[in-house]
Amino acid sequence: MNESQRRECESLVSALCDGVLDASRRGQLEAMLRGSAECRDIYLGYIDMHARLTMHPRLSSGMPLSADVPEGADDAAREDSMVLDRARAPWSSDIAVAADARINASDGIVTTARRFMALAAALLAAFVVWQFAVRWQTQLSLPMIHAVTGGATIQNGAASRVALVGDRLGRGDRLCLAEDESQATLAYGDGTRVVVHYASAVEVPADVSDVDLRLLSGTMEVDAARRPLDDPLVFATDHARYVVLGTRFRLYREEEASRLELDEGRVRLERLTGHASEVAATDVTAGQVAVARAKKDAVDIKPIASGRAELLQSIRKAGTAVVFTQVADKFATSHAERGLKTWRLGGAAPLASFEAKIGRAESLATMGDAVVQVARLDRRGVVMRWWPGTATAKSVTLPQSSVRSLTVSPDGEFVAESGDEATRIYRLESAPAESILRLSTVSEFSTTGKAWCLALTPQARYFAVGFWDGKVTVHRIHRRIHGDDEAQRDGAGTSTLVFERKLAHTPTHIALAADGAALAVFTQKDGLLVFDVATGERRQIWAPGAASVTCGTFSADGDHLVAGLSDGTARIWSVANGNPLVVVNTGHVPRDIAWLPKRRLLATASGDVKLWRCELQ
Amino acid sequence: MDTADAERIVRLISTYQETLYRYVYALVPREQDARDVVQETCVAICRKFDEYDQCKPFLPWAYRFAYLEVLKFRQRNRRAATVLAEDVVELLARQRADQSELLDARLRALEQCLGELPAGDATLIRGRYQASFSIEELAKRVEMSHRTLFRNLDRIRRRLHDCITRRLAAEL
Repeated sequence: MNESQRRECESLVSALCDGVLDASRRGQLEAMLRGSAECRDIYLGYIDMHARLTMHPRLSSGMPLSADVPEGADDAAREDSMVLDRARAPWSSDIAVAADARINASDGIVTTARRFMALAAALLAAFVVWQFAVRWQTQLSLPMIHAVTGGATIQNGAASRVALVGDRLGRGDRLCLAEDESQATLAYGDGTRVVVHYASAVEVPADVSDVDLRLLSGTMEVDAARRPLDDPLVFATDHARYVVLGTRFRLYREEEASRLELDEGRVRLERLTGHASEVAATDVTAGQVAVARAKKDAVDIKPIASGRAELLQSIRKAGTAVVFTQVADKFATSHAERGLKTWRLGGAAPLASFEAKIGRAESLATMGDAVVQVARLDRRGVVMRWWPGTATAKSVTLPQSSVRSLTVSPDGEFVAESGDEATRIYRLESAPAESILRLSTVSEFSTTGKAWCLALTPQARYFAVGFWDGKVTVHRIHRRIHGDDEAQRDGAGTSTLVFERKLAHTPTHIALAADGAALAVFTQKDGLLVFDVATGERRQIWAPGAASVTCGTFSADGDHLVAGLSDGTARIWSVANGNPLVVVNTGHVPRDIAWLPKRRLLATASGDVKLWRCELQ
Repeated sequence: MDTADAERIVRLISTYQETLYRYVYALVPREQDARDVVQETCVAICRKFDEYDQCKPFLPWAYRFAYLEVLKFRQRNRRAATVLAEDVVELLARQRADQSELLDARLRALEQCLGELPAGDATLIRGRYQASFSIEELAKRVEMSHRTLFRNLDRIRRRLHDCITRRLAAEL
């Protein structure tokens, strides 16, 4: 739509809102709505605003009426102001007239008795109204379950029940989300929304205090409605109280600290100083992170990240895996039921599609123009290579019957699988005339601990494994490259163990820099760690106990580590110093993430695929 | 339906009534008609509440009933001037379902944008919505011709719409 068509659409919708759209202009509006998604956007935005104002007329009185009509404004506006004042209290004049009439009609004892009865009735009515108001206020201060995915339970003492949409949490109720990928949204009467992420627990305090909700473990994300200053929303952890002053933020209960990340508004953070009941208060403002530790350490406040992100594109139901192609303005997506697709940046329709049930991608890569994915189907690994523009894909089923983890190298030429028999790396080979891919074994590792997650570098030069028992290893793979007889000529090559470390818990995600120099590992007990593979030096990037890493990778140049977290954020860190560069509130929990540093493009996938432009400062 | 279900349905409907109204209003853009359709929707939801899977979000389930009630309303009022063509209703319903979160975010920004309106514009908007004056009455009170009043309301809505869009863009 050009500017004048846009204006035309706006005017037609506005006329519809005012009920003055005649039949011919209605036909004109319908034609525009049929032909233009942008006009439909305008229509929906206008009509939603109009519906809201119709339903909540008070919203339109954002400021005191006396301030609405400025000095020197015309009399009509002043008159409006007075009329509107009367409109606000439609009953008051009627009540006054009725009272006058009653007083004039009164006479002697009868009148006194009537007055007494009227007074008693008024008192009784006031008491009932007060009781109702108290109950209503109590109801408003208790959250209701607005949405729940996965399993959630409500516990109170020994009693426990499944949390259902529409349930209200009472005093002393504890909402627990233990299942992977579970999430619950709590709604307060004033419109405040609290999203509780998985591996988290919150509790409505049993005692009547000013604390609305206590975060016991994990993460919650808050979008708070405006409240009166004398009745603010208050959240708490073991380390501090958080008094919300109209805001949007995320609160994390880490193992040794509580972390507040503030996107918008202001939060007053209060802590006991240790001197009687003296409270030290600190204001945290938008764009800051505040870390409150146990004991009496000062609250550490600093910027969340220096960079910014802008949403460029959102594609609904495109899949749970995404990768940029080696041609930089394209990317590929994978959807278990809908197949593989390639897209041009900013394009609303896919460039090419391979539509088939292909299983949920464990790992996705590109090799030249081709898209390569490994997925798990019937407990076996299946590798698929598809050239966009063709109607079929070449595939091969991996040998092990019970595969535990799978990955593909970023260049799409090698795959690794771990199962009960062994952990193996294969090279993918394909002859033009054949419809299947062939595998040749590059390296094989006996299972001295069950491998839980794997990572490969391009050309499979380095290979990282995370085991059930918390061990992580990095191997340098020796194989025959361009006639160099580095490996055995027949059968599998050899490898050298270059790094080994035992962590406190099972690694759930692992990533390896392209040159094998840095290893990133996430465990529930250790948080997100980055190791220098050569020196063994370790740096904690993200603390344990709060949000979990759901996906992650290094940039191709190894300068950045990017990860998606269970709190719905995507984060980019500098590998050199561990500083956060960008925090993106993605609006979904990323299941896969891709980062193209030269173009500053970040992609997150979680059913919907979103593309972001990130400015790193 | 047992007492717990009855309580739950009352709670859900009272919580989401406004959201349902906004959804319906987008498809039946006349206040009284939208209220009637929402009422019918609530009745349908109560009747079918046994079929609701309470582990799933309520709104997408409720929207299905609302959409069916909108279609029924269209059938009954085919000739009314305010009824949109069926294919347009379908397009709008689909696009609105896709933009549900975005529209919620826009409404949050609306409050702030209303606060930024100049006093004269704020007075007009209040007259239109808070006092619920008819267009004739409002035009008389603000001493404007109908044409000028519509033009001003159109301008204010555009201003609010642009302000909301700017605020959301700044949030990202």
